[in-house]
Amino acid sequence: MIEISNVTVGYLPGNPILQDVSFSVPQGSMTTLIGPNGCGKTTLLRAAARQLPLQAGEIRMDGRLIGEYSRKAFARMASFLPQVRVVPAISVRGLVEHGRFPYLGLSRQLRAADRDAVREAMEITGVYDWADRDLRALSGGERQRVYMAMALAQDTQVIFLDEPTTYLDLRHQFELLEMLQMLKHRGKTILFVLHDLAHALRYSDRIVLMQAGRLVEHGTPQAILRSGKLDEVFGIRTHVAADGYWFTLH
Amino acid sequence: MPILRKSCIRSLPPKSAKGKVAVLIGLTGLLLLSVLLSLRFGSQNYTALQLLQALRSAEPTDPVWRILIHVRFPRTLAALAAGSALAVAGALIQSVLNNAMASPNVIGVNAGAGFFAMLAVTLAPGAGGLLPAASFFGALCTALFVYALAMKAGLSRTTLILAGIAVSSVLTAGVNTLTLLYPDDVIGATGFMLGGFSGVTLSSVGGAAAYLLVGFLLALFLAADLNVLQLGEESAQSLGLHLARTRFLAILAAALLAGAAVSFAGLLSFVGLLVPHMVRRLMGNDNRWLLPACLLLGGAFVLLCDVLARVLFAPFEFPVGIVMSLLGGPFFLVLLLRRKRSRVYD
Repeated sequence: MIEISNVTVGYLPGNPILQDVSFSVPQGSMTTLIGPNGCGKTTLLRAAARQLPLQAGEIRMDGRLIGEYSRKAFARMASFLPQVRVVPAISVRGLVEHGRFPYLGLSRQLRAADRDAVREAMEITGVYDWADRDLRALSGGERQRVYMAMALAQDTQVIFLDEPTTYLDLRHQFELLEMLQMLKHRGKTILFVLHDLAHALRYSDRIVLMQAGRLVEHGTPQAILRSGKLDEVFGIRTHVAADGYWFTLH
Repeated sequence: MPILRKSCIRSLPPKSAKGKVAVLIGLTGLLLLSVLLSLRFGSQNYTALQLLQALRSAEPTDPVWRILIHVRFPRTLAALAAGSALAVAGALIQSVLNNAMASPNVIGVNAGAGFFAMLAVTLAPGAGGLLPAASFFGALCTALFVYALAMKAGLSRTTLILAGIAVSSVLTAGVNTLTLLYPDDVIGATGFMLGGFSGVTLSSVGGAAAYLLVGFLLALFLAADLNVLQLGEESAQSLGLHLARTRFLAILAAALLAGAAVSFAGLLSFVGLLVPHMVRRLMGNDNRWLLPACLLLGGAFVLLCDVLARVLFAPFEFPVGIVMSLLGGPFFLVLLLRRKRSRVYD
């Protein structure tokens, strides 16, 4: 359970990028942040993942303020997949093993339990066969699965993802979204940013619609679709029919 | 035979822990060999038999014994320690700045250490024990300054290197000014600028030993955390790594090592850049293997260059810095040109 209350965030004082945003994400559900470019989706995600300090308001996970967790404890609570990532010269297994970092002792040695978690994460994401391959030799879609495996090895209750489907072809997009759905059914709480409205409407339990740093609407995909706010925010027209929905420019 | 060699090279860096241990063993062998060569050869042309006899009799008045114990042994120790320290410092700085072009020499850490060492010599002549401390202080200040530049201004990698070169040249000018103003205090300043081991004593190396030891231990302790840093800031932070602390400790370790090396070996250039790159080819980028391998190969490389410096024009000695650049420069170019397929950093 993530509770976001009256959160204001900015990079400079007096110039907030995110203003007075409040909503909550129930445990074992998938919430998607949508909105036009520059609306503050990524900023909100980064604030929740403790990558950015809050200027006002508070964020709680499991009832505790996120700032109260130690670095390691927070890393055992929530994982974060940024959109732009460095691709280091490392094997697939090596990268996934880094997911266990918050569990390691001072010697930084992996224990049997860590190895099991790494193996399981690689099996769930289907990257086990590539364990010894160089990350740089993989395609974008394959790499994305490896990063997912790292996040899974981190074994957190909450997973934050920033536009995980960008740069992926349609099949890989669906594969990733299906994987997230499967994780949700295993009890993970997922908060992520998506650009694709159709994906967001199809896969989310809740949608947070944002514009210019403020929350415009928060609800189920059906409610968002019928609210008419999508038209306002994106400058498009939404058509809802009995057998589905589509978007046009005017 | 050529087929075997080619396949060996192609399988580097090794993927398995076994392969990496093999590389470490190989490097240890090379280091031991370099130590033996450094004790065996020098400007005095003693035979191996003479040396062994002197060693067995341990007669304090024997000139062979004296050369071996009071000249070659400290010199070997100094070359080994300086090479290891600068190579490990180079690898650390490359990791912290995430910049393959960085090294203690390039970003001015060595010059900073040298400037403060010279300052200590001129302000408090005779206080030899002050030298490693001053040197370390100079290295730390310069490293933190360049790091702050990198963070504050969000400099690109190239700009950072240029800034480092600027810092380095200011400090080098400072060193030169001091040698002009106080020529009497700064004996052998040319030797200091180029770096070398001709005047080194056991006590000057011994004075830096504590710094070296703490620096090496800290570096090895940080290795796994530096690996996490390679994933980028956001990922490292979300894995629970304390970014600022890790970077500061790595800079501290690099300053301890580079400062200690400069305090008795002068401004040796190139080791800190060349050796980490050689080791990345041999061992890959995992700091848990990279740093120990830099320690071994750095020592071996400087030892071998120093042996050549003593032997090439014996009984005249050639500055080891020149040998290192003559040997290392072309080798580095070959490394760069062959790097196309396996880039260290993108």
